[in-house]
Amino acid sequence: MPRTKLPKVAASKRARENASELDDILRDFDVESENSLQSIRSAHQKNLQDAETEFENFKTELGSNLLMKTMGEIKQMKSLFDSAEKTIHELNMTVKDTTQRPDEGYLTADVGYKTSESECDKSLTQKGRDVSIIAPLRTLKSRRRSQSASNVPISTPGPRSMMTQMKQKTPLPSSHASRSKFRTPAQKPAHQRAASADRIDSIIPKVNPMTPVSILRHPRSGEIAFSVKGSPILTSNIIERTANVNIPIANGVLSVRPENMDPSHLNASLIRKFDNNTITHLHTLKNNLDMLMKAFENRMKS
Amino acid sequence: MPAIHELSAEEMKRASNIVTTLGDTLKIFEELRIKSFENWQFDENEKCSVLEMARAGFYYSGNSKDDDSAICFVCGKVLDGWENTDDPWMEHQKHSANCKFVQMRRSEDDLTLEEFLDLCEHIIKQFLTNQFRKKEAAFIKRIEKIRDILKSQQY
Repeated sequence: MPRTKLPKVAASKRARENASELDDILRDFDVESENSLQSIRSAHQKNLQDAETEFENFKTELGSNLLMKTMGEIKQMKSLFDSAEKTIHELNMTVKDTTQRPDEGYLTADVGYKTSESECDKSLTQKGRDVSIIAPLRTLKSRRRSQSASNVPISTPGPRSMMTQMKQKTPLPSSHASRSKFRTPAQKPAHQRAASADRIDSIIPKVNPMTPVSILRHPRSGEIAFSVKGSPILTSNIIERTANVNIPIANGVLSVRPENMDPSHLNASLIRKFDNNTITHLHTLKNNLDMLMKAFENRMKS
Repeated sequence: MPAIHELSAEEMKRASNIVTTLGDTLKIFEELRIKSFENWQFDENEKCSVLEMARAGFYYSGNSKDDDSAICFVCGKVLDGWENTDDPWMEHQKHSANCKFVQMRRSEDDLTLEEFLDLCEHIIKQFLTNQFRKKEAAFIKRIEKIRDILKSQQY
């Protein structure tokens, strides 16, 4: 008995087509999954790279002086700092704030920054209440009072000077200069107490100035700079209105201003004053500036 | 090398910050390892006292079933079955000679900050890699599963 002949060719062709279609899908799938796998792998590599860069930057920032210290020594330093911070904390706790004072959340006192190194060390080793933290606070009253009378020369670099070498003043640069000469010694203690009592707020550090790009503000005149974890203020006498770069060199500070510079201003002796650390810093700075400019340009484009 | 008192206040502050940050976020400090051994079976005169264990990089990783296992904070080697005559450094070396900490063979206080930071970097990278391996394995498993489903559509 005959039967209907199945179109064998057609059937196998359909199966073949189906199979090849599936093969295509599988191939696509394989390519896609391989791509995804590669992308998570490269993301991981980038993470590792980032961690490495982060550590590298961190080490550069710390400088070789610190890097060569043993952990034992570092811990010793930490305990000194802890005791100093504890004292600051106690000071905040005990002294009540009596005046309402508009404030950005942090007081800034020039304990760590303006005092010379030896003074600072001394203050750190003195455990207890008489840490010289009080000293800069004391100076405030007199500084405030002398503001109107004082004629502290504020030197601004001439507009044409592209690089001005400023001699770095280290120990307490301005407080002596601005201090009133007419102080009655007998009244001193009362003034000191008054100055500390109505000036100290709780200090809440709100910023992290250790990042490569941070926005700082200038101190208000007479303001106490109180550095708890690295102060966000720029303790400079000169109020800059333009973006500029200050590079610490052997005998001062090299200030680069945003004006056209020609090679004649560069001489070998100037370049020799840069040490390796500074060069590394400058490299990082340059990269950061490039990154900033790029981000800015991208924004302008979009 | 400058003495501590020659460092500027800023440098000292930075040092203080590192110690605090690393201490708070990572379990890489000897102090934290010491704290982990709450009910360690060996007392302080013995060779594998808490202090010696922590110095050699171990912290406690035991539980109620397995109460004497300890793990290295760098290589992650877990060792148990400690005896009072065991020297933690020796055991560490014997079982995990490639451990970066074993290769340095100095306790925390004797490492320089740079060495310590290198160690931290190593640990962080290792941690990231371990996390990644897990993620990668799970991802591959999933891909294979989907592929099998796709393949089974064929007749």
